[in-house]
Amino acid sequence: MDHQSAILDTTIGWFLLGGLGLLWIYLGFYWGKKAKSMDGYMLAGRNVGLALGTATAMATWITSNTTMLAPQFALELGIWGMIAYSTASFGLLLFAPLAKRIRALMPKGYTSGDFIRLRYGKPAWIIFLIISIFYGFTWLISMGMAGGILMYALAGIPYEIGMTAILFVCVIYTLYGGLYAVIGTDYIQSLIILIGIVVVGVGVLWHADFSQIHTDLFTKKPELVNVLLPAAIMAIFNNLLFGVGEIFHSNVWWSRAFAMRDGIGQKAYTYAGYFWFPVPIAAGFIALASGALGINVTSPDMVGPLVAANVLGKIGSIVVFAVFFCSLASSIDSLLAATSDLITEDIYRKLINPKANEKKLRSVSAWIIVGLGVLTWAVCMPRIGTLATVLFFAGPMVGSTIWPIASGLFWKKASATGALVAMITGSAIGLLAYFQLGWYTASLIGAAVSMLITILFTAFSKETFNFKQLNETEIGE
Amino acid sequence: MPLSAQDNDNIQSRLLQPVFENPDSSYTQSGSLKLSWTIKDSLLGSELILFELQQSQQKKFDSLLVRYKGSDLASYISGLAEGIYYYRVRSELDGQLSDWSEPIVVVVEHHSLQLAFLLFGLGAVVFLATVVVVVKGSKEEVV
Repeated sequence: MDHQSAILDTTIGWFLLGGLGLLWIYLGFYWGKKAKSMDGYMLAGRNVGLALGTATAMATWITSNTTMLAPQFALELGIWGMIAYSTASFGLLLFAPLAKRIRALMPKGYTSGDFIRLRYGKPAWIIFLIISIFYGFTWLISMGMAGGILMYALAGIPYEIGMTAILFVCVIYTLYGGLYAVIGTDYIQSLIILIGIVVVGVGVLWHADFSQIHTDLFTKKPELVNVLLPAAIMAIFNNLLFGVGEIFHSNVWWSRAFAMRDGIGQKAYTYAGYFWFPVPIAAGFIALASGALGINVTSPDMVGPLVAANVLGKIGSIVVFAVFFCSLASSIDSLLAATSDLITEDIYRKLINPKANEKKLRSVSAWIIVGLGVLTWAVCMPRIGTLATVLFFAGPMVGSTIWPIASGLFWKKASATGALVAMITGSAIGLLAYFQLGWYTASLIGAAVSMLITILFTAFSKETFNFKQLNETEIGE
Repeated sequence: MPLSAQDNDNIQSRLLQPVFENPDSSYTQSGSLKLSWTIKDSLLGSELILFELQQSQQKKFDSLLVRYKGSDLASYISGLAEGIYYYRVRSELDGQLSDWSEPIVVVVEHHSLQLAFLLFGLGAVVFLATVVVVVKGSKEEVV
């Protein structure tokens, strides 16, 4: 790893890492006591209210990708990069009406995989599971890596140890507390993140000399203030559609839709979208100030933590450490829980052991959480690239799920073959764009191809789907 | 025969001379890339060694920009306009300056604006169509 000066004393870093880790583990055990049934463990008793619902949606979406990738976007793509990242809030806003419909159509549903299986049948379901599990895993890897990068950049804690510690903490409290613990910790983490971002924003505004930032950008990074920077223009809708695809398909968001009380989902996702929108702009702006503040960046995903910690000094860097730790934990726990639910419900219960009782399912779910943690750790050990290159590799695949999901929820004539072909072709051509044009085009191309195919197949479809089939309890009764 | 002071200086200067880890010539369409360098293993990681990274659009560095001065072994460059850029790095220890590294060249050629606007337009169409499907669909009765 390239040498880069740490901001925080390593001893303080260890103390913070230990303190925050123990706090989350304690809270995980505390809230986990509520999770007596499988519905409780996987879906927090399907009784989550507006405050917790909004907080968990916002905290989960403020991830390492927001606090570390948004500044990277600004550093590489300039002003448009900041705005491009903020457009990911449209994913939350557009999912709000979907959450209401999902809850109404599938009152006893568990996962996004359940929807695809019931709506489109087995072949599309298998492709969807491959995409969804691959995406969940790349997101986990990107955040495990972010944990290691962060600990190293802020406190000089070796990458391997920092990454291991944060994964270990999240696995332990998710394992014992299930979605109760995930949502409970998300609430506290979202408060810490919001307060921290305000503190960092005020700090940067206090220290920044705008004319110096302007001069530095024009002299050394002229394209960052060029409104016609081609890569940035391409990235705007690419990022927007990547965000929409992530939220539309991922069980992280579906499980919350199932977990929220009737009538809560739409409001919670809408509020979360509004609260989230300014966060990447605040996080991105500080990256543009890095040159003027004389901060050298050795890896683009480090720019956010480095500038924030430099500007705020030793005390402030403690705040930064806490914010980044919370933003990582709030997403890693959600992903562990949601991916484990998906594998337990869709693969184990539906394919391997349909007669499994609750005790067995809970045990399988726990083993899957541990397995996911260990697998993520093994892949994260050799740092394989920047966060963007790791995460955006899944971009075309998630982009290709937008239209099969949206049309499947609203159109009776959306066809199963259309969904299958749309996901496969969208992913394949999107990946081609990833390698031929760049990561900042892949989700867009994947989504566009998938949309065209979905519309074409629907136009010629003779199928008429009965939405009552989505309510599995009604089928069985 | 004992080495003269000048010989010692020359040896020191060569020992400290950084070497780029990047290839001699690089190409980017985004205007961003990471430059990294190294020196003799025994001196790596020392906070006492300072590096100076220079950028120029002339091979002979007639006019130049200092991109970085400090002890890090890499610097991420972004926001470069289209053109050809040359980079060189040297180190400093106790006031002793090394020779400049062999320069490397970076060619920046952005994507065409036509392609960028084509993809922008395509993205706008996909996004607006998605909004229409969701908004229109959510106004209908559930079943």
